[in-house]
Amino acid sequence: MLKDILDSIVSKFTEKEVENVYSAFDAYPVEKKGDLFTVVGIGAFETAPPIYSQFTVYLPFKTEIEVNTTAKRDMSMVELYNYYCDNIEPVIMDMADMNCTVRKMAVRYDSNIQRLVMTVKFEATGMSKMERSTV
Amino acid sequence: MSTVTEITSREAMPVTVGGCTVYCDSFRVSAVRAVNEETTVDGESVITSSGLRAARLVFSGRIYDETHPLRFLTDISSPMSGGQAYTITYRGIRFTGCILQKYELTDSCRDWMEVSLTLITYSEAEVIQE
Repeated sequence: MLKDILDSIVSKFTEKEVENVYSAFDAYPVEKKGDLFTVVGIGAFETAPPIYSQFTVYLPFKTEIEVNTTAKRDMSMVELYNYYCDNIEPVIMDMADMNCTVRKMAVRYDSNIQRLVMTVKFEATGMSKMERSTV
Repeated sequence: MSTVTEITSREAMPVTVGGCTVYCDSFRVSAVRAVNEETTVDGESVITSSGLRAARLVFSGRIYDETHPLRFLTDISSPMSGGQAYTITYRGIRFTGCILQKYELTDSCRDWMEVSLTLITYSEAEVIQE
């Protein structure tokens, strides 16, 4: 379920031709991800009681998607913001509706790799469908 | 002293009224006897008459339907307008002579809709013999 959610978000970025976007499940080393790369992961996930119908059981879920953009080594904050405005924001705003909203955006300095990382968290809801084996 | 700890399991059970089926998350039933209470000349109270009112059964559930989310409304319109008596079975209990008195559907901007059916009956609940 988590993999499906992340794959669908990553595909929205690739549709808009944003380069170097990876799912948290892609275990590439940082060096191979490109100078400027974005990783889509899940920060929180919860489900509600299932909804039953004759042939299907629906499992509603709510999840917090984390989009982490890691800047190039000598990239300034201004350049990182520009990259966000030009590439990341349009994709997120395309998804925005009553069920999908941006909750938080933050920039921090990752001292391990000595690069700026911008994190955008947005909340999304969805439904997972399971066919009933017995009716 | 012995202790048994187990994980419980429960599924929503279907309730069918005419051509409308609702998978119920919750169920509430209530019955009341209406009484007529008068004051005597000594200042005491006395019940002069009483009568059993119809029991009220409220079935509530959630609906998620991808293709026709509001199909419930067309399914329920015939039992609602006809006023026929239905037999309702739910978790091993049968209620006969149930009239659909009220239905409610709420779409509060979530992925599902909340519905409830209120039925009234004068009949007593029966245990379904297996």
